[in-house]
Amino acid sequence: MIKNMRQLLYLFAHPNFSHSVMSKALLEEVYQHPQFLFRDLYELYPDFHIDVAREQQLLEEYDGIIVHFPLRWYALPSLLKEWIDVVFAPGFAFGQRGQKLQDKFLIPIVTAGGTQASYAAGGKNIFPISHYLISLEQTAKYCHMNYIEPLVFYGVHRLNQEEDLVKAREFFREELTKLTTEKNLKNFSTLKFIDDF
Amino acid sequence: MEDHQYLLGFIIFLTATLIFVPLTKKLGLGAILGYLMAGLLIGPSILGFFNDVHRILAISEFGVVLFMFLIGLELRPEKLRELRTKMLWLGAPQMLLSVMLGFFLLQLMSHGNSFAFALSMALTLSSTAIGLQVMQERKMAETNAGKGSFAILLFQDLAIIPMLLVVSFLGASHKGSIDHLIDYKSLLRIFMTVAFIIFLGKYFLNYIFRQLAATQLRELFTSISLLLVVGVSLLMESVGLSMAFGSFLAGLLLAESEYRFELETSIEPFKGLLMGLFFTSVGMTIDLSLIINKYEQVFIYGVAAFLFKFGLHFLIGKISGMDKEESTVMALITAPIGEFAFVILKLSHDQSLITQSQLSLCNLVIVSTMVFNPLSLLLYDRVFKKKFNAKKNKSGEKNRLDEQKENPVIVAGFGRLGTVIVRLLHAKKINATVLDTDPKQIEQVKKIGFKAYFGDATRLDMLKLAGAENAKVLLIVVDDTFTAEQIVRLVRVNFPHLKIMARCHGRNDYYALREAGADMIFRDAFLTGLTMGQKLLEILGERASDARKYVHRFKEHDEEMLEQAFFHHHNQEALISLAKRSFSDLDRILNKDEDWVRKEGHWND
Repeated sequence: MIKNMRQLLYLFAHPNFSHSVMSKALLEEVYQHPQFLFRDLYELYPDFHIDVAREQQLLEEYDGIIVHFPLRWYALPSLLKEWIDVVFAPGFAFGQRGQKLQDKFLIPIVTAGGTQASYAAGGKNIFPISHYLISLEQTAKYCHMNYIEPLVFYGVHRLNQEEDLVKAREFFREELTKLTTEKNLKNFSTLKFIDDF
Repeated sequence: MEDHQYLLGFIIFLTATLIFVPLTKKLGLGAILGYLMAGLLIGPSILGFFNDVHRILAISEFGVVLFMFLIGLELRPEKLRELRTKMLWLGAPQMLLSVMLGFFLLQLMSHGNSFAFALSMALTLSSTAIGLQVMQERKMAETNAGKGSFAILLFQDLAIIPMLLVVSFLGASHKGSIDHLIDYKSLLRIFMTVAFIIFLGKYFLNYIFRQLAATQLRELFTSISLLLVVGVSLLMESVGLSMAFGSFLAGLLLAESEYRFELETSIEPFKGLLMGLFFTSVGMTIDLSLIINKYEQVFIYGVAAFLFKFGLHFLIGKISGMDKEESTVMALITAPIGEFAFVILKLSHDQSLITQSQLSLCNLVIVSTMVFNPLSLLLYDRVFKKKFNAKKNKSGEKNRLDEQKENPVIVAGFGRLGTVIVRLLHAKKINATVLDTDPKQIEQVKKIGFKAYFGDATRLDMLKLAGAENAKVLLIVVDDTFTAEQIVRLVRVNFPHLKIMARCHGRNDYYALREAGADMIFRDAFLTGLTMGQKLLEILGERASDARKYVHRFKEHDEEMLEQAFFHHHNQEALISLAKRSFSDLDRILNKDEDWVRKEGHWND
């Protein structure tokens, strides 16, 4: 492995992965990156019984986490929420004895059914995605983490051409490389979405 | 002919008690008065069926011995500690104060020293038989008053032998030497005997019990139980300790035994019968003509003795920190003079400390205090209880706490499945009472640190002993369904509050247990099959979360179908058509998602 490369934990949480299209395509890119430790939460913990010690140990070893999920009712899928609830425990994530997450990255990658236009004033969903992820953002900040603005794939409901997927994968490949090599991830956040296909 | 006479006597005894005891019980007077009345009627005073009263009394005293054995059996270590403290703070002061005050009062009435002392000792004793019987009838063994009473009674039992020695000493004092009464050899003998019994109880008895249990013949167990109690009691008596204390000690030693429940159920009926016989024979000793001649004296002395004891015990109770109601109840229970007073007085008479007429009068006074006990309890119930009602609630709460201490779970069957459940409960620090009928299995789980009792859960008395009245859940994990079904039926009728969880092997078992009234039934192969099936789906490429979903749906559907099948399980045709329908439904139900996706389109995310 190349030195100075960021080692990231890739947490994937999809309640209906068997029926997904976009996420399946995106994961093909993820598998190519050996510096990600890929963890499929719904595969690991179908009973929602999370191995907290193991998860915390991994968090300590890596430089940060990518959380990749489809937006469900404007929020995180329930297992991912559960994962944060139990893993970001007092004495580990915050509190006097544990601030083990300090300066680690938290990078959301989100797939959403609605178009970008719908996530805006006047649109069907009224508020921008960042608004809906505010609790995730604040959680990260509370734990002194480095929160990166989410990378969002909008409008996946309308997805119907193979070439859209190819485009998305190409775009995603570049972004993933940046995630591990870019010195300043602020640059990443400027490229935070690809628009409707 | 001799045999027939015994049988006839038995019939008379049983008939008399069957007439009187239900009657007095119904009138709220308690069983004791009924036995006493039955005894009076069939005894020498009226009908004269029995003349050898003292022999019957001697035999039936064994009821008390058995009773003490049972109490010893039920005493857990933490309760024993509490009992020791109570004996020190209640038993010892009662003994000392009662003897001293009684002695003082009798001297005031210008009686001689020896006479006053012998009589005051007899007066001090309380009736263990009555005390135990009342506590059992009123279910108050776990209350403060009950524990206090028992402490006093047990302390007195320990004091009886020294008392008999003192009486002999008083009688022998003119004759000179007392060396033969207290010597080191007899002390050593007592010590050796107790040590022998402890050794026997700790290392040997369980082995014997196991061998006998393996024969699966209940009557052998009854025999060994009786042999054990009688043997230990006689042994203790031969070295100069009381039989009651001896059997109590034997009970204590076996309190931790796996065979405790079986011992209890074996002894229990004998104890009940003998206690009844004991009270009846006390009734027989009542000399009606003497009462008629001296009824004033009997009545006055009886009331005086009863009030003296009641007052003193009430005060001791109050001082030791009981509330008014507890002290009252304890004092009422321990107020009647005890059966051992007969023995002490008899010995005093033999030692010419008291005269024959004094002896007869004293015996009558003792019996009269025994009669006052149920009467005063009735009075207490009718008149005073209302006053204490406010406080009742408080002690009610206490009782509920005590109940929580009892095990909430009973497990019938300690095979592999039972062991898993008990291990889980153990990890959660939940106590379970475990019953099994296989001594080998009990031995096996003992090796890994778990305790099961030898006992058959298809028997009502065994379930009661295991605490079915207080428990919340009964787990039936015995191997064969026929046994399981028997247990369910028994429990459903007798302990309707108890939740029954039962294991079964297949559908027919399910129908049987469901019909018998089990609340929750688990098919063991079914659950294992689902767990294996879920893993199998994962290995074959389903996502874990999907496999879980399918298996859950499959389980729900199957359970629903089983429940429907239960209602048709006598009708073979209906069952078959149900099975067919169920099979076609299953595919639709498992693939609900795909259906929905087809209709509503993809989310694609």
